[in-house]
Amino acid sequence: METSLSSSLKAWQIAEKCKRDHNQIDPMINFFIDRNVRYKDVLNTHLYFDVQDIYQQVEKLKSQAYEHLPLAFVPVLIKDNICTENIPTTCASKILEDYRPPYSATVIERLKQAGAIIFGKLNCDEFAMGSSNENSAYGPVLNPWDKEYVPGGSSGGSAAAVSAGLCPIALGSDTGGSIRQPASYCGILGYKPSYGLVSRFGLIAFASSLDQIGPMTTDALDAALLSDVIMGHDPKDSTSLKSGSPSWFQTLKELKESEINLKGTTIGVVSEFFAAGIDSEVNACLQENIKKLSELGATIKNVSLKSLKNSISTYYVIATAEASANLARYDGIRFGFRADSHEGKKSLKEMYANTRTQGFGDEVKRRIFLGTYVLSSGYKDAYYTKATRMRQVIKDDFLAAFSAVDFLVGPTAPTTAFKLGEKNKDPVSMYLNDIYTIAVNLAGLPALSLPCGINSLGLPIGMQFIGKPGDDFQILKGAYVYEQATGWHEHHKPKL
Amino acid sequence: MAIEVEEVKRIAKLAHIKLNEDEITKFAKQTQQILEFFDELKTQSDSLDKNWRPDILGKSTLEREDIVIPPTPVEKTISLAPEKSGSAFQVPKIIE
Amino acid sequence: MSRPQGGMNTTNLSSNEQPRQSQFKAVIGLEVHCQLNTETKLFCGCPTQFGELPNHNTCPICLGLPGVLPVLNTKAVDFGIRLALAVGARLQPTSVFARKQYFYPDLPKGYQITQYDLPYAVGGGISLSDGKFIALTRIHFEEDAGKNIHGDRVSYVDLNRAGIPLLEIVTEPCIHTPEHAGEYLKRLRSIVRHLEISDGNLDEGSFRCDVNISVQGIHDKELGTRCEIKNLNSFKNIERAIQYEILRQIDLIEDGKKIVQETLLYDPALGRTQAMRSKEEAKDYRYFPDPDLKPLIISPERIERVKTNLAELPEAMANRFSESYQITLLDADQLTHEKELALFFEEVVAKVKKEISPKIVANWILSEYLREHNEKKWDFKKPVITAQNMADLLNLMAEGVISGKIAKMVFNEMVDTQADPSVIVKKKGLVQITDTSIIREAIATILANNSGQVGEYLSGKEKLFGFFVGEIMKVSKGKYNPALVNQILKELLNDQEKTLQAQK
Repeated sequence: METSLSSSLKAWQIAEKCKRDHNQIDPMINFFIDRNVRYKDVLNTHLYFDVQDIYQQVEKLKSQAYEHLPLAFVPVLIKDNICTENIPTTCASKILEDYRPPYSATVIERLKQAGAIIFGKLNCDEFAMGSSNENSAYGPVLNPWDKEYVPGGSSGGSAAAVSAGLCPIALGSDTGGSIRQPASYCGILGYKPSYGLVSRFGLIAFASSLDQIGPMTTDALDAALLSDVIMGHDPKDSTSLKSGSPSWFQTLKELKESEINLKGTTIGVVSEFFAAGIDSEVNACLQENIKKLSELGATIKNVSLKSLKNSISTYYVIATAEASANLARYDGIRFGFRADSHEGKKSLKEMYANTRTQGFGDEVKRRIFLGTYVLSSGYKDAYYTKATRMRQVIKDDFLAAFSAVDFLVGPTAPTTAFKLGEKNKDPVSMYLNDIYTIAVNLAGLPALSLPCGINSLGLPIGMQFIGKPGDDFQILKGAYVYEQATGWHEHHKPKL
Repeated sequence: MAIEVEEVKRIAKLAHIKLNEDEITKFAKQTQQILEFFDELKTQSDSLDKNWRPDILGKSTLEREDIVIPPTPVEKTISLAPEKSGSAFQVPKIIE
Repeated sequence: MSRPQGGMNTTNLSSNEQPRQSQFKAVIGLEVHCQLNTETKLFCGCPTQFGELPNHNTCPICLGLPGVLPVLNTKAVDFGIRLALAVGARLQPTSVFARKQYFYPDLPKGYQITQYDLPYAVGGGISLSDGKFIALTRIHFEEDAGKNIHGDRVSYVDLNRAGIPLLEIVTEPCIHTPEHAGEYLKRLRSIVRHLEISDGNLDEGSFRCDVNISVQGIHDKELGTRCEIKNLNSFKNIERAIQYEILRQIDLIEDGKKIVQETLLYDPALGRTQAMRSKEEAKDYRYFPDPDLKPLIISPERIERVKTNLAELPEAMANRFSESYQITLLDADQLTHEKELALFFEEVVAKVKKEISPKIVANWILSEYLREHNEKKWDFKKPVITAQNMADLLNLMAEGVISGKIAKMVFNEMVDTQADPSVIVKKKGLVQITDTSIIREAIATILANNSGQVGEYLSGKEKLFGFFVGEIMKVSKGKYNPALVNQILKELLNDQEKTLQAQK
């Protein structure tokens, strides 16, 4: 029945429906296939979509016992920097065009074990480097709310896909805000877990000590469900925390009416987040929402994070340094693009240089260059070594703030989405966009962005919750409470 | 802090990335802008203890048992290679 | 200024060189890369066994494919702790893995995971036979690179070796002669084999040595310019290369020329070092701590556990042998150089009769047995001569069944046929003859046939005694008991003399 099929269906509802009645499976899958086919080219969200592959997965799952699988038949779209065995994984780069990994990321294995259908791979900024999805070698992604605007980045494809209802849940990755900022620009929920909660095995690395995979969904319940599936220690990842898989979905679902509020919670408002640079509408919207949080029972406190002003430089030194090493493996020898194939006359050095120069886009080259610079002898102590100490200072600052509050609130980005081409001439101003999200990655904290308003141009505004290390559930619950109280996320969808 | 063209060339060489004249100028300028951010970082962190190693806090690194895991079938591995000879990767001649 | 010619034994200085060398001091530091014989690689579960076809022992992790992560091999850590304990190095409670970045086809990630400013062990050292102590600077873990194979116009890359665990062992620059360098390396190799952490094969590449060497005037305080010699694949070549390089540098200094800091290869055929072809640029490895790994924290409990199970080291074993078996320290040292030889010796000692002293066993093993073992490259795992065989042979000697000379013949036969010694003795009728009447008769015949020499002997040419013994041995094919031969020969010659005297 068409009316029961809706792009507003949550992942948990889809799983329930399909498990309860197997006749729902095909119509459900076909509904989402149609939706993907209809919008993916318009928005340029996809880098890979194969209907036959989808049907194969569905048929395989049908032949198994799936009654206990939490994500049975749920369509999930995956950012294209996460390895999927035998399926092209390009990181939106020319250097990995047609690259088909011989293995799948741990998160993909876990999704499959939970019954999810991997619906396709999503466009993003090249190697996750960017804040607008304009750095893709395969063209920019467009914001479903207004196609003249960027969806944000680097998980722009994931944010746009969920926002446009192409799938209920998607995976993104976040190194300096790449899940949260596009979630904010596209009006969805984007959650970056505490560092180490989700395995990075199979996530194509940008900055190893900052990267995390996380859920991009329409609400907190789905984020919780997805977390339950993908989280838990992975012995293949030395940075993976020793914890087991959570059961947050159940915990949220079982909350009593009387528990769905913020009573007893103290929320910190970071004064530095509301300093110069914030758009006035975003500011006004956030102030209103902080009031709302107070109405829901929270105690609001002002906090100051003095070292926050160093977060951009600290981040860019560390992130580019790690990236320059992580991207050294792209040399055209064992996989991927190689320049001068079949020419035979060029030397090895020429082959390396041509491959990397032709294969990488400008932003990637810029960051590799910067990272090489800050690590090179003569500069390392001045930049990299100092940045690692400053990072700890920033972390300690947050921990000190958390002694007085349960979590922090602020805007996710200083503005709403900007127009395509508006900012990509000047990389430095692009970097300044990350000011509210970056410090979180430096400190390894959990954080999420949830939609909380629309500006006069009809573009979404996002509110960010930042939690204590390992206290992810607190902010998910906070988001859930807000959603239940306001229903904001239900009533505001882009008109496609 | 201005960045010398020679420095830009040296760094680009280390990273095995070719830059044309325009790009050298552009990268020098952009790097300089970004590093001006960093210079603020330098002075800020001058008060920090030079021997402080925050990276060595915490528990010991994960270890695994010395038990063989079957390697990837070589056909799968070598099928990824842009150029190969038998089961070996092929590259332009390496001059020692 | 003569330079040693290629092919000659360059460790023996001509009389020209000795006074020159006394004006200069060579300063040598050695870096050994020792492959650990764990089952799997340092950061992934691929097998480490040697000799597979290219890229058959690889996985996404050691291939450096996008998205992979390293996880440390626990046994490799324990092996590292063993070595540190064995050489008295100080184990650091916290050590850090670092990325060493450079581009080369055999380095799949474009960086090597190694340890840089915080290695897992520092200090320690090895004592040499003349008392010189070779101090170590540090020991650290790192992963091996793959192999590049050179064709005519292309090269090939095999990553089977990429990721195999290595220990890098660095000495202080405290070595001054090629002989000390050679002995240090042999002892280090012996230690890693005793500890069973490495095969220590120079020719298979599981024990690789690079030499850093500079020369300075004997009274100079400043170090000379250092050169590095790589790719040395035998102990002999290492000593020769060092000797050559010392003289090369002395020549340059005496000519007033500057020594260029460069990396050299040693050509054994030409007997000389030469610079690698490519011009060296200053390397910028951009080391930084690997963010995919946490620091390695080695607890005192872990160290205790490894210590309790630590194998006996060569030096301790040699001392023990010398004392309990009453053999010279020199012999003990030789026997304990290879653990398996030492165990073989002990097994034979356990199986021989009381009359055969361990010293005799040692003599046999260090001469006949070791000669064959080295020449024929025997493998202790597939013994050509077992300890039982050896013991049986020596027992036959003790029982007087065969003489020492015959025993050597039997031994050679054992080597060729792998048969038991008693079987050989029986088959070839080698049982020693002790029947005095037979011996007496034979000797009498020989003396009768050589009356001229008898006469000469009796008039004073005592050396002819040996001639008679030789003739007797020929006739008897060595089967006569030598002591009886001696005794009876003396008797008969004395009788002859008495007869002569009487005739006068």
